[in-house]
Amino acid sequence: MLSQRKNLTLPCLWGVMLIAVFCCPTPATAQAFCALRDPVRTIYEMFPNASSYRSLVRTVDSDARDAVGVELDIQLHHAELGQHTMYVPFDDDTPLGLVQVRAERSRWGLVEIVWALGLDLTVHDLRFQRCRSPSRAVITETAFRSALIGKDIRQLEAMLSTDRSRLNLLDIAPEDEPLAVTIVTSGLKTLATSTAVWQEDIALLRELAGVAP
Amino acid sequence: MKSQNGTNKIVQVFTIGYRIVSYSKVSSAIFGIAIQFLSIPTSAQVITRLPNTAPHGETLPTVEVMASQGREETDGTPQNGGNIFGSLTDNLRVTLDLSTRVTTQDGAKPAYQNVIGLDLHKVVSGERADWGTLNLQGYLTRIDNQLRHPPFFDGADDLEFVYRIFNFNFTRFGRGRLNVRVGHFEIPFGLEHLINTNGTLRDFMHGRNLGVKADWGTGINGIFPRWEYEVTISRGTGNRFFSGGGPYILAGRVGTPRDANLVVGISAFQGRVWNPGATRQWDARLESSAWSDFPEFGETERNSTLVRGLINRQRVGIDLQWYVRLYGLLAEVVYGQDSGPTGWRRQDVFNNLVELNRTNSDGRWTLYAQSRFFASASSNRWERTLISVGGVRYARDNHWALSMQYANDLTTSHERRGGALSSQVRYRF
Repeated sequence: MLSQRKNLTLPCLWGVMLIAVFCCPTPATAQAFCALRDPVRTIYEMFPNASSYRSLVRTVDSDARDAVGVELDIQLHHAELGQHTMYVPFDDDTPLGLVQVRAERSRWGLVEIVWALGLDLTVHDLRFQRCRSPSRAVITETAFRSALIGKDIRQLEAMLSTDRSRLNLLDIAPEDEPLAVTIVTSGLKTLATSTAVWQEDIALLRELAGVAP
Repeated sequence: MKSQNGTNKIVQVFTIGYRIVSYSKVSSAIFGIAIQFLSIPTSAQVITRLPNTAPHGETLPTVEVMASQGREETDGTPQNGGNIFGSLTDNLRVTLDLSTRVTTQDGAKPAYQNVIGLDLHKVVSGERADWGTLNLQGYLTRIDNQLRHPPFFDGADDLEFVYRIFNFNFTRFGRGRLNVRVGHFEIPFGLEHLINTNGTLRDFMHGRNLGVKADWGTGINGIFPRWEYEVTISRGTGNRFFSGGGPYILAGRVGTPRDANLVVGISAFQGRVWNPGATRQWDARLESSAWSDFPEFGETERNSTLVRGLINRQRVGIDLQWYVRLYGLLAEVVYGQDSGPTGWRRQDVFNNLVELNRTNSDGRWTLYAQSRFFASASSNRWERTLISVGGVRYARDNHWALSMQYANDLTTSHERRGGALSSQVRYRF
């Protein structure tokens, strides 16, 4: 019996390792995939003319991390690597924009921000999907949210101080400023990773929509 | 000696798994499908071919787009043959999921549970829209000395292929308001519907309250601006599938948006559920005259052990989640009735759960404390059980999750029975 067990163990282990090797290119999360949820409600709120949306799942890998580092001098955390989804809302055959959900660490837990971008990679809109912070009203107040809409990556970058710990040019209550800085930083990373990972998809979508490259 | 026994158990799992894969049609088919998905070069190209007509009527040249991982010249021919479902690896997530769990009990041998499975998630997409989401979780599960186990295990020592979430949710039309789900899914009821407890120590009330956590069937679900819903009809037999005795479940939940800081929902459940653990108490009090109330059951069915495990069950419930900064308060209150073909007494049932939890700022640590109360009444006499649970979960990164939980069964109408300490290590590749 013992020798029979040994004979079967190696093929078993080899089979498991083979599966594991094939599995490696698709980094997982600690949670099961059934916990993944599309921001359906928010997509249709931010793009009310959309009739559908299409998912584009791509891998944010070390190359993308390096590209973001060059673009922004921000190092993505290893927990931010892996497979992420870009959602493209369509009005029949016309792509309307891009939607991404980013989770950012804050003092009061993970904040999930839904970013809507134009095909010209400017901020179209933003909403909280999940936020436990008492400062969450900062994003719903018109002044701050309006200040972000229409900004490209450089303009967003100019909203932060040199060390990216404070906001420039905006009047925000001191207790709300950390969350506001987190939001702007999240926007920067969203724009940078969109360029690094979904560049070719965005180029195609621009052609379809008749937007200048 | 103990470490050698543990190693032997792991080897035993792999050995049995190899035999299962070799000789089982179902397992071979599933693993074969998985290998088919995985054997397509992962560094290869994901091709997106979108319509070549601009909105103003101009015709643009067809553009073949390659994902950032590779590039290949094409002749303009759709690489996926124009298949509206896209290539197999498009929008695909798949991983190997391993876990091992040990549960100690006062005065009893420890129980072991070793699991190896595949978790597959694929968004099936057309050119301009997603058609739906395919979620396949198949887990080879080995239990040893597990005296309290789900009914689809044949005993305290058994190996089974467990379907967790194993379904397709069709989402193409309706802007997310009317989706159709087919396959094996969690019963839409209470807190368990919103919070993922697949393969975790942390759990809520589905097992004891409903008798079935996930079931085979179909249903509709959708999301509106201020509320969401799911209604399903299913077989009522859980991981197994049989029709003897007419098992079924009709269940649904309606609630406020699940990501808000305050979430409220109401649920309803009606069914004839396969739950032999609950009906065992009535077998000893079988009254032959009770069968006259169920003329649809013939002699064969009355003698069937499967049919004897069926229980008629109705439930209505309210659930609540309230999050304030790093703390969360969860509650679920359920009222209902149980009765059965080997029945006889209709029992009123009142179950509830309260949980207080706390996470840290990056979400890696979760602490929770629960109180679970189960009460049933027949002949104006209530039997009550109170279980207190405390646990911790640490998700070190995107791969590892370590958990520990202590559950103490305090049956208020009897003496204190003692508790169970469970520990689990889980790794996802």
